[in-house]
Amino acid sequence: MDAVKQLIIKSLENDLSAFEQLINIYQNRVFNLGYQLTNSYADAQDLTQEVFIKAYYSLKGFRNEADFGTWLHKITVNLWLNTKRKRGIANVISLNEPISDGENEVYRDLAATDGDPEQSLESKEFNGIVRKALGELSREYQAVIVLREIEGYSYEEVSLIMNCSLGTVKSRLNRARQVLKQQVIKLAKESGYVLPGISENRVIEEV
Amino acid sequence: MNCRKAKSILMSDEPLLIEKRALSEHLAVCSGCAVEADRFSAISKALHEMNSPIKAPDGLAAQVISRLRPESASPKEVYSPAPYRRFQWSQTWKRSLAAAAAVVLLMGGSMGIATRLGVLNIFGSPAVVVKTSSPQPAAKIPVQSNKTQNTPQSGSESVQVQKNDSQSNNLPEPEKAANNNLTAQTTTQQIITEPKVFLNVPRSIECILWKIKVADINNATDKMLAWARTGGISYSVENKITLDDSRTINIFRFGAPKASVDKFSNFISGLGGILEQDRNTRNVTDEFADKLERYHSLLAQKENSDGQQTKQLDAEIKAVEYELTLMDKEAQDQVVFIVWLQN
Repeated sequence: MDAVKQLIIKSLENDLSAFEQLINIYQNRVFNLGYQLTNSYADAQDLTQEVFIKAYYSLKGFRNEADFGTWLHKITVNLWLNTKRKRGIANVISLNEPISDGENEVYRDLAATDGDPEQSLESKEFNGIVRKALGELSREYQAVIVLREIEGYSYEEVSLIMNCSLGTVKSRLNRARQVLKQQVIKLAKESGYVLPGISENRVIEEV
Repeated sequence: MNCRKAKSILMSDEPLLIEKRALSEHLAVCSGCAVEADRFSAISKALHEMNSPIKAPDGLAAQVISRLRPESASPKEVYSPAPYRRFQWSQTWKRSLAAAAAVVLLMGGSMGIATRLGVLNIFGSPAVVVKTSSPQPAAKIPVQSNKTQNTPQSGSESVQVQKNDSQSNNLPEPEKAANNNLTAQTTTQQIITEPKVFLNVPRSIECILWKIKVADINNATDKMLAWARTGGISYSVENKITLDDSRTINIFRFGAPKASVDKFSNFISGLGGILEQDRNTRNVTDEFADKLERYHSLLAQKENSDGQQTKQLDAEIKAVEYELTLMDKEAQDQVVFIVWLQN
């Protein structure tokens, strides 16, 4: 039996030190998703705490059929969707402002470190626009894009996390991408950013 | 291939090989779709670059564990008292942002808000109370003065600013009736629920207020909570008000043993620039008596309730009991610190 399973069993017996070890193993993963969803260090911190609290009380519902981290991500997304709905206030997102993790300043979007500096600045600006556009989508669209595009989950995993069918995931993702693209175009226009032009070769390679 | 088909393949991120080939043939001759493809790929690249791992804040595990370690540590326990409901609170506060901002304007004094929002009901009868209706009445009860607790309801998320002039006007009819029947019913109730016994004796609570401007609010908050934990200081109220994207206010209420008061004061004053500092002692004898009366009245109501109503009353009883216990403890051997941090 692997170590995580043993820790889960011990946690089910109210062994808090076992649960603390589980938190230590998975906190970065949960925190990162929380941060991608909330785009705020403080909110991600609150959300992560809530996820582990909720996980502790729902441990019985974890059936080992999914990876424990994926299960925690499912709780993360659900909590976030619900609190957002209750709050009903749109996210306010600032572009590329450094955030503090308590000791160091971290940038939201890392610019490419290779290539010429102008290009990396440009890509940083563009990433900022995409981040802002993402924050303006509906919660469901944001979640599906974050899970698939940023976290790199498969369709199957996204459908498990969001508790919907594969077909729904695919169609939601398609719509989300479409809306995101429109939003990016709109924001780019507003901020005077020139969107990438045509470079067929690259496109063909990537597609 | 037509443009429509090309776009649908563009948006699918798992195209078949044959589709890819047909698509590239189409893109070579259709500049419109080529631009579209370029945009999708640029957005996709930007999204991938956002996955820059950030380390979870230090002490997160300890904070979670401390929240899971109340007196009754059974995972089945549904109710958790105020200090263990951090997230819901902060959400509630964010929701009441607009109302809070309005109150700030109304009162023009920052310390005043905390008092009047009902956070610091220790400072006397609040003239204005911001009440946030929440689907989880138990979660909000401990923040508010007992004057605003009579509303276990769900669904509504409105934020109201209320004026409360006298408590009796706010009591719903059944509660008044329950008050009258108090003696007879409490006797039976005590056997069933084993309520705590509180005595009506003179009580006063000493309170020290600090309002500090800090450079990094998360860092200062973490440091302060870590200090409190190691120094055996409990903290019982935490609220977070986000005024805008960059300005946050965190309010904490600590119960410090009398022996640690000076050390804790020194630590707090070193966190940043001191904006305000105050110290007062308040007689809470009457407030305690009012709460105790409410406690007994709730117990009596529970006697005549059933099902969902009993559950709600139980949560409310626990909340009031928690407040009474806290007040009792604070009056006996603690000094209350209200620390307001802002950046």
